[in-house]
Amino acid sequence: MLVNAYAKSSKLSRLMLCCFVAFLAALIAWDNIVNPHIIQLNTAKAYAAHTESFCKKGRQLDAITKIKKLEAEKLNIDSSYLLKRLFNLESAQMFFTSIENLAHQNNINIPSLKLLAETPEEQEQSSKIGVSKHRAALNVVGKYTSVINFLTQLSQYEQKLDIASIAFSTKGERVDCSMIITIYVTEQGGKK
Amino acid sequence: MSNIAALGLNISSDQISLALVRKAGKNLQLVRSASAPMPENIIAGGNIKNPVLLAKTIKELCSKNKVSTANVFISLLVKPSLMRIMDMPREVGGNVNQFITDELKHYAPFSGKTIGHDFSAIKSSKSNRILLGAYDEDKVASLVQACNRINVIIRGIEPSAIGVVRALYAKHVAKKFGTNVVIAHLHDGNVTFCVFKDGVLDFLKQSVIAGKLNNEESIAAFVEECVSVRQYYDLELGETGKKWEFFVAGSAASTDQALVKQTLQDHLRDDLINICSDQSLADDLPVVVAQQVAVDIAAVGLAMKPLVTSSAELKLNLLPAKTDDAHNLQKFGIITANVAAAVFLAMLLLVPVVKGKIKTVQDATAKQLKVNNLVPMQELLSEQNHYVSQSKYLTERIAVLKSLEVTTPNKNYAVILRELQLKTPRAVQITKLITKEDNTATIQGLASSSEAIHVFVNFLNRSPLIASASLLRTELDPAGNGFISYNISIVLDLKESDPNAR
Repeated sequence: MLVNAYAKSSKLSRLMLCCFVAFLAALIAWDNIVNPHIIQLNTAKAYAAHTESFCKKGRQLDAITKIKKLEAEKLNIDSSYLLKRLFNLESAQMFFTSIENLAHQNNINIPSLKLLAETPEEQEQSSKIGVSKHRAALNVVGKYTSVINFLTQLSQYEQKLDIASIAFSTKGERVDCSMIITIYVTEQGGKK
Repeated sequence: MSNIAALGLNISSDQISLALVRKAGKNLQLVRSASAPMPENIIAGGNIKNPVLLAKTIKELCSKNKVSTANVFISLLVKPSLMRIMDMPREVGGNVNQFITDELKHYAPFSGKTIGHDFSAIKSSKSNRILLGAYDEDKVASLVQACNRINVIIRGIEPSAIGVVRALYAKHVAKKFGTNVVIAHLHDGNVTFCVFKDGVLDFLKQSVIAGKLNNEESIAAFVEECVSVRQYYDLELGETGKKWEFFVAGSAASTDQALVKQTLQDHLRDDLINICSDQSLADDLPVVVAQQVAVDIAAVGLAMKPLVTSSAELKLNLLPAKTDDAHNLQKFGIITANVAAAVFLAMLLLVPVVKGKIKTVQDATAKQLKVNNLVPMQELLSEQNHYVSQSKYLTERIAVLKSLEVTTPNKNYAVILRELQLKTPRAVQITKLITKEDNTATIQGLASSSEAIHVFVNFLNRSPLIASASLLRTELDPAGNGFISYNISIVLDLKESDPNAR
């Protein structure tokens, strides 16, 4: 039967059959032998491309992180400098106790030192920004030069210290000087 | 034919002979020659009775002589068979095959049989002539199939006389102009006469000779056939006076050669008689014979079939088409299988190449990762986020602190008071000083005269710590002490009060 089919077939059909078998063999061989490795190769290439991209992004991220770190450090230095101008809770307490000593050193009396309460608006803002205002109404009595020296020493405080509403009156050689002292107090350490 | 060596097998009822001929450059070389008696009950009455046994006999002979059976050409041994020259009518045109088929149907011995045939155009002849070979295909096919089964691959079948002609043609027939050459071949009780005229086959005759040329009667009958051929040309064609040369091959050469030659010479006195004996074969054949061995000239001629090409080549191949197709199918199958296997092999060889590439890519990736030595992306991102949030917090905090003017120096009221002390004239006394948050201040006091007050105001205006000073009010002190009380408004210049600025 096969012989008859072969004998009746043309050269072209034989060639076609041979080509078809070769093609089929190639297809099967490709699918089962080569293609899995080709897929693996493509995967490895894709992984390599992703790795390259990943490394590039990693380097970029590392550089950005370093820049951000430098910026943060610079801001920290600036912030630290500014925070030095503020009292913390401890130094604020010490300040009000040291005022009396300062007055004694300058031979002046302190008839009254009254801490003023914060207004609700001020309290709200304090909790918001982490810096609270502490005000005190101070009344001192002494010689004019002594009062000047006292005020000079107050102005030489490293921390921000506002003196406002100075009102003084002379009573002979002595001067009665009242003022509002405002200090700014931050949380201890100055960090959130 | 791709094989460079071919095996010729001349089969007769009493003997089987082989000759292995190899092509060495331009020359042909007889590599091996052998013969063996034909076993009984294989061939009877000129026909193959037991093709399977004959195939085995062939295989055994070949194995014994260590010759390959991949390229075998055998002589035709079948009855009925036919070999003759046909004059083709001009009206046949190109449809020669159909004409021959029709002609053979009318040939009585072939009636009721499957007729196989082949033909070859006789070139250089004036008229349109062909050499025709026909045979009972079924009988030959059974032998070919039996041979193919035991790996004796038969590539061609032709009458042994054609083999003899091929063997002798180059040296004794070609280029012999003016001489008629007769090749008489005795094979299995038949004698075939091939007459060549100017190197071209001109006449072909087959006759039956009873028995072998081993007695006077049979020799006389053979000689009579030879003479009849000669006389046909002399009398019928009127070619008297031409030179004739006779070559006798086959069974006659193996019998009493001298007697055969003498008898022929007695009847054909003017002609040249040659008996192709085993001893003279080296001179007759265009084949290099290494040593003196018994050589069957027909077997050599059969083996020469795929190895020589000649203008007078009689290209008959009586191999049954169906067996040839079967062999070709097998060959085609092997080729196709080889192609498929080659494709598989190519794919298999491709795998290591692809694997090598994979390894290269993977190594490069691993190297890249090692060189970069990256911190895990998550850590980098969390670190970056930490610094970003810290920066944001600090920026906001700095903005808040700046809004509180923490960078501005503390107001130094002492400097202002000292300045007031210095600028106050002797006739002026400051009794009260009130400062406000908007850097303005009011000075109240007593003076001895209005002029002193104005001098005081002028002094204040000239002070670098005071932006402006203006007199608000003056009046006589209600205490009645003669002093003039005054009110002066000043605007402080706190920049100037900064000791560093001064």
